Amino acid sequence: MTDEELERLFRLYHLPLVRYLTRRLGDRDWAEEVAQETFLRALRQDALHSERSWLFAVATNLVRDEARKETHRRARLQQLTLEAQAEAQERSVEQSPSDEEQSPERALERAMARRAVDALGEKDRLALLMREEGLDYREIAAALELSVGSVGTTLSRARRRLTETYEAIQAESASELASGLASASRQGDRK
Amino acid sequence: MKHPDEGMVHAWLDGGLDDADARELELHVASCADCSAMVAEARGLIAASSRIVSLLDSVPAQVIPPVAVDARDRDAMSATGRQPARGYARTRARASWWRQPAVAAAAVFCVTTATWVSTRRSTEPRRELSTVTQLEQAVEPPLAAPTQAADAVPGSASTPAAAPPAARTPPTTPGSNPQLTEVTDAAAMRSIAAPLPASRAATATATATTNATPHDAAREEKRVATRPAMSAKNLAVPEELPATLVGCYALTPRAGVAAALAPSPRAAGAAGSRLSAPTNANIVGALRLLHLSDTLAPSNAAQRSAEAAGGTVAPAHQTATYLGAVSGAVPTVAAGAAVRWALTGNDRVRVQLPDGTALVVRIVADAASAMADSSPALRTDVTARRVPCPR
Repeated sequence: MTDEELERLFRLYHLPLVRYLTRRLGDRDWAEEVAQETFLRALRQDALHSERSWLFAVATNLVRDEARKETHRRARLQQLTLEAQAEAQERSVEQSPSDEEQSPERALERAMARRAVDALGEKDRLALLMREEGLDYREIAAALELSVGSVGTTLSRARRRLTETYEAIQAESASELASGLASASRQGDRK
Repeated sequence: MKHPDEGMVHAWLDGGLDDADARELELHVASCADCSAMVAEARGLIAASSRIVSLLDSVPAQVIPPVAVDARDRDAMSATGRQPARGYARTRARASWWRQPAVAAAAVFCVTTATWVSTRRSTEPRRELSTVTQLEQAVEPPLAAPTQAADAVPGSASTPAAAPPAARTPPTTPGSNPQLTEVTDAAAMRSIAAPLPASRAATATATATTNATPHDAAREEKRVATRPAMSAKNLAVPEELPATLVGCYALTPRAGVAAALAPSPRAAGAAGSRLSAPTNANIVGALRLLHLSDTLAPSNAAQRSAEAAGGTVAPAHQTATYLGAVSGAVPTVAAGAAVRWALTGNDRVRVQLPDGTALVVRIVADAASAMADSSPALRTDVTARRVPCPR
């Protein structure tokens, strides 16, 4: 593969690939690592027939393979991250929310979305995330080794389950909040 | 046409049907209330799922918590202007740290490039270049010019190292020497008291001993793969970091850095060069690779002798292999080019490229902490991530 071809691939697909991987993994650093490894592997190819599906397929496989080997390591890192974020959250309590991305509401939405996406089946999740990055049905079918005719069914199922799961999580969260407020109110009345 | 199922409706809305089927379905939907309602519901599900997925985008980049620099080492460096001997001796004794089962894997820490050393010739007052000062106080005489390689990489392509393509020369600021761009690290500056004398410019050239072989790369990959996980706690003590940083690092330039440096005409293909033929040359954009390997036996022997005598040696130059040329932010260097690298602190390595440009790499747990005490104007310009070495 020539430099110009690789540069073109990088320019076209690096950002969508990183975004796809970030959504898949919930970890931007990890996503960038996998994306870089994906392009390294592309470098070794003479040519790519269906480049977008190839890149997404390789990235997906890398995530799957790495996840098998490093589940424990990532779990530990996530634990450390949560601890650090908790500490940061405590420190930022007095600060005004200047960044919408870091607001508690945004964080809650993100957490609910993560739970909803993770609740999908693997193929459904991957197909949905790839579709969100603009892969067409043929590319999704090639990347996930599905028939083109089954991609529509897969996506319809994924979208329905994702939406329903998210709504259920939202309702659960609202219910917990309401019960928590009611409990606090009762404790206040007793005093 | 019979009533479509939900999958077909989604395929139609996604543009996944061929023209004939799409047209037929469109006509059917126009005349069927139930199917029309199905289409409306599908549109809602598509929009809702897109919104939900987009909520995943705002994730933090920091996976590993920030690492605190050990205060004793910082104070020691500030007082002496040199790296603490105990730290170096300790790290040299643990040169093969990655082989120790108790030590966590390096794959989880981020190597951040801290500083580009400039070959400054201006009359401006020199700012502190702490790691450069450290290195040059202990530096050996300038490296010899490259000579023909005695051990070319077996199995590599036989094409000669190509000169940097002119098309990749980035635009430079008028009046500026692209190789004089300097980004200092405030944390590093505080660790050294004496400013760098104006006569000391980073002009050494690298030897051209090429030691990396495919076997080395495979061995390194295996070592990385079998290395036990490194915990953030271990990373919090810089003096335990190794003297050698064997492995490959993918470098990502920050915005605005791409135009800072121009490829050096001396970078590759120099007369008498011992550079081996490029195997993965000219990796583009964010995919530059820095491959460091510990191969300099005499240096190790010198260290062992010094330790046996009860003393320590100054950081010795090792020989490493620079894997991958770049376009934009760093001078183009042919793959397989030999570089020199040396430990300049408990958590810093200085890498000299063949054209004299130096790269200072700081080992931290995560990229952000490397800039924790740097002002925005002094931010590091390159972020490095540990990646598996290409086969």
